[in-house]
Amino acid sequence: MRRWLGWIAIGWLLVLCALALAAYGSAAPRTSLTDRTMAIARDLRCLVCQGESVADSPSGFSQGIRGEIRRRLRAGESASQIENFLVSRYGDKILLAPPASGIGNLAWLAPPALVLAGVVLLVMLVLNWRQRGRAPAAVVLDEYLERVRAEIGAGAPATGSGEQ
Amino acid sequence: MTGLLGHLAVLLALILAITGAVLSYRAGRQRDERLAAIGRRCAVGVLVLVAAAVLLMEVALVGHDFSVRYVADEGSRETPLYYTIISLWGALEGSILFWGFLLSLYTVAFLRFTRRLDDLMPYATAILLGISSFFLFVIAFPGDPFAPVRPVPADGNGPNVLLQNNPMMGIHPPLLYLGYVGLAVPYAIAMAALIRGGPETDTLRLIRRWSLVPWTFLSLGIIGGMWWAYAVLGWGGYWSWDAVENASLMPWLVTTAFLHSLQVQERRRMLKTWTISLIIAAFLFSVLGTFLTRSGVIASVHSFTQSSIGPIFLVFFAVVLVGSLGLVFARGHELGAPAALDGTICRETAFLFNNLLLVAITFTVLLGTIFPLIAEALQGAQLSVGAPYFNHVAVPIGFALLFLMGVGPALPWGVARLEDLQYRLLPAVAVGVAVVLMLLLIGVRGIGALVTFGAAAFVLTVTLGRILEDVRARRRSTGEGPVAGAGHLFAANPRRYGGYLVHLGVLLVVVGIAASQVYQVRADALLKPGQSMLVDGYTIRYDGFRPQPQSNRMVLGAQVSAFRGGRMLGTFTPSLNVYPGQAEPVVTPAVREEPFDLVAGLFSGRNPLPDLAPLFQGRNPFEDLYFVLQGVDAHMKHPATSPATIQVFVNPMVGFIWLGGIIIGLGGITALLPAARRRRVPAEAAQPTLLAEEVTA
Amino acid sequence: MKRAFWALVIAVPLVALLAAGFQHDPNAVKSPVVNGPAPGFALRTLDGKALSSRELRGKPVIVNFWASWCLDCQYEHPDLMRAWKTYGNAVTFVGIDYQDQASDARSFLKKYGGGWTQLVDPDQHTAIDFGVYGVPETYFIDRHGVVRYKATGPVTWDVMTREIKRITA
Repeated sequence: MRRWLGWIAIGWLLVLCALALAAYGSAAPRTSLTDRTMAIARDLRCLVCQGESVADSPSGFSQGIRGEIRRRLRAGESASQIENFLVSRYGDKILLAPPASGIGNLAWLAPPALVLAGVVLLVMLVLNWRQRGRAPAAVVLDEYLERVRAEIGAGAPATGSGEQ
Repeated sequence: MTGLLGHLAVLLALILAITGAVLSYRAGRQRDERLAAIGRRCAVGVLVLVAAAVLLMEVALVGHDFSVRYVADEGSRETPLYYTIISLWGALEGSILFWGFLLSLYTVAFLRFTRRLDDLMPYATAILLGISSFFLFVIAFPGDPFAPVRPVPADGNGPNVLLQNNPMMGIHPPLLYLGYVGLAVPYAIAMAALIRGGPETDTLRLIRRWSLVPWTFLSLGIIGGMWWAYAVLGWGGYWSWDAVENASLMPWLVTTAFLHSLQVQERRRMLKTWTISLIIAAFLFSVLGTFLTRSGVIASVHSFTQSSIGPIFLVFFAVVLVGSLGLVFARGHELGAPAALDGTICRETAFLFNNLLLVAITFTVLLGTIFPLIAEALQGAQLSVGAPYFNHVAVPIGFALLFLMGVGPALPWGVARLEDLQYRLLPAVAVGVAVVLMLLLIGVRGIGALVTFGAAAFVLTVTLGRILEDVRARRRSTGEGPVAGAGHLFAANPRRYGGYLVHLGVLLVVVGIAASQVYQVRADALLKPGQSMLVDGYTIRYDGFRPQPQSNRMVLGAQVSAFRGGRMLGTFTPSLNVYPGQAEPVVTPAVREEPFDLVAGLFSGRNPLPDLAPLFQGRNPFEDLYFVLQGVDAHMKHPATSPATIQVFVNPMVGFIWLGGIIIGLGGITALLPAARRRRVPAEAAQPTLLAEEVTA
Repeated sequence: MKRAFWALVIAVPLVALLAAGFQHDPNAVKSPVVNGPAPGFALRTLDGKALSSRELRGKPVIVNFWASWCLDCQYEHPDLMRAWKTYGNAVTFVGIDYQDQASDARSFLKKYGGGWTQLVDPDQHTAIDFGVYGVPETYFIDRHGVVRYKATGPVTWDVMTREIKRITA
């Protein structure tokens, strides 16, 4: 029983990995022209609105840009060509995500770098604190205590997290 | 006259607040209970005076006293009474007055309900009154809403039209403010502990209580804001990663991290400095958010008009920031105990990673929000940072956090045993897989949503499994029935089960967001009356156009009927609101909200059950229909025959978000309840109790 | 106490950044079109005659995007008239009607005057090529076809004379 559950866990992870790969590989094959237009428009900022994308805004500006995207898609241009064109007319500001170049790199790289550094730091700290931890005998007792607490239903840990 | 009285009340309150802050600080230094009592009385006096000022402002608003500047700016004779009353927080000056009022309310509530920690209270009072002093200063001088207007205009400008379009305006801003402002109390306690110095005693438990209150309000305020955006703004969504939304999210994330880190602190007596820094940071984010939305530095839907208040707020933020960080760095190390762990894989480490991820999301949101400023300052580059950025950077971290939400509760404190983990995690993993496979089988596609649903099922199973495990253990030991057992168990530990309840609410929100983001369908068409359009299995018929004049605006409504599979779902009236002196009309969408529709169905006598047939076609039975009138070619002579451009969104499972929000709120309230007294334990259970007490002693 | 100085390491850059923010307008857009070649166009006038940007080569050009529904366009119109009357020989004036009905545009011109070329940009293609995001916007193009300046919002007499001097120099 336990064993096949383990296999399922592995299977699940594999399924997830496959799905994730599929998602990154296929990058949403949009079908209709409208869908493709909207997919591009979603990443563009409506310059006359407050915090709305070209896809969401009903403004004349956004309507015009959507029309332009549609026209260029029909002419066979790719999404990145269209975005490059619009950047050449309106600057990087029209992109709702900063470009992955120059200063924009900072925005894209800083959060993953923080997570990575945090994980490394935490692993080091945890290993370090583990050294300082109490003897294994006490550990088992602690786990036992936890169960005792659950059983008597008090739940409040004796080490002082109970409500006043 | 009203203006003069209001101004006077604010001035007196300012003097009283400064006096109270100074006296309370000295009371702390000199351990002088007499001075401390005077400080407390000052706080009460401030509350009375600020309440009077708020009342006077309302009197002026309702009485259309246009000699008062704020009323001349924000009031008008055409505005309905409800919107006149709530316009108190509709604009900059009034919102700061409201801030000040809530802060003094919190201060007095805190002093009233907290009777312990005598050596800390005066310091905490001093800090709260100090913050009050700043806000009262702003209200009294640079942002005086009571300033006289000469000559007195016959009518006012009226409130921002976006803010008088939905009754939610009366509820969601106060909730958010209660969250923002309430964070001042735990901040004050934390700062008091640092000012006093020396080892931390019992403050964190007090801080927990006073941070859970604003946390709950913030949660409700954020979800309420999403609902407002959804129902009012008319672009079919509820969250646009706008600066004002981010400003409310950051303190929420940090407070959430605090509430988790606190548990490690309580169990292990470690991470004190870190934990206390988190709650201090939460208030700093609250002030930063207040600054960002009131300074005009960052483009935002809601940013108030620019004024001289921006630089003053920046000075305040700088003082609070330097003071808080300085104290944390100087005194923080005195608080803590050396950290130690018994196991590498245990609840403690799960909480540590939870903190890391929450801080990383907060950092991402902060970076994204102020990145246009950074790019401009460093390179003179103009950049935008919006939804695509946050979706790519913050959401993956959120996924990791979601996964951890399932792993964390399965891990025991201390050290994990492999069998326990297998027992708790593997069935949950199996459920997660099963859900994904089942959804795939019935034809659901969309990777992001599938992974979210699978992970949510996994977390749900672990959480319910843990609750069941506890209930069963209790039943075994006490022999109570399942209901009574569960009841007693929950009453004995509202913190734990309130926390689980919040987790369940978060799951609903996450599922609702994933479904509505991935499966939203939109379409628009120019229709003549009687013509229909087909959208994702729905038939939408445009029935005609009807202009309706109202006291403060002209409502141009389009009548729309919706059908699915021959079944009439209802008629809806999306509209355009034309306000006098406003060039662009304001869109008001019409929404058929699934859960509310179910409730309405119960009362209207028609079949209230959702139409489950679509489920078997791989479709979602919980869908909102969202109508926007984009434009109308109004025929003046026969308005009813005007063709109109109707936009339709099909938004699946948005209702889950609102439902989740309510559950999160309930969970927060539950966690605030005091634990029931420990009951007399039946004989069988006596042995373990003795053991427990023995070990602790 | 030395530890407390770490607070400044975090606080000073953050506060400086926010303070610097006061000097920028979050809604302003710097145009990348300025100092580059002016986009070409082939449009029809309000009267239906075809006009291509090629025909305008070798002479400085002012391109003014406007619309009859736009209040700021009404506001800047007298200055534009005056500039056209003063400098019309040295500089070609071109108006491009943006998101508008031709009939409305004609009655606007009848009411407020104007005699320079007026073009219709039915699908906003030319406006987008110029990087227009709202009206009025005015582009000053020198005789080599380089955009020297872009005025966003109503253009004033002072700006106009200054920029006309630059493009005619």
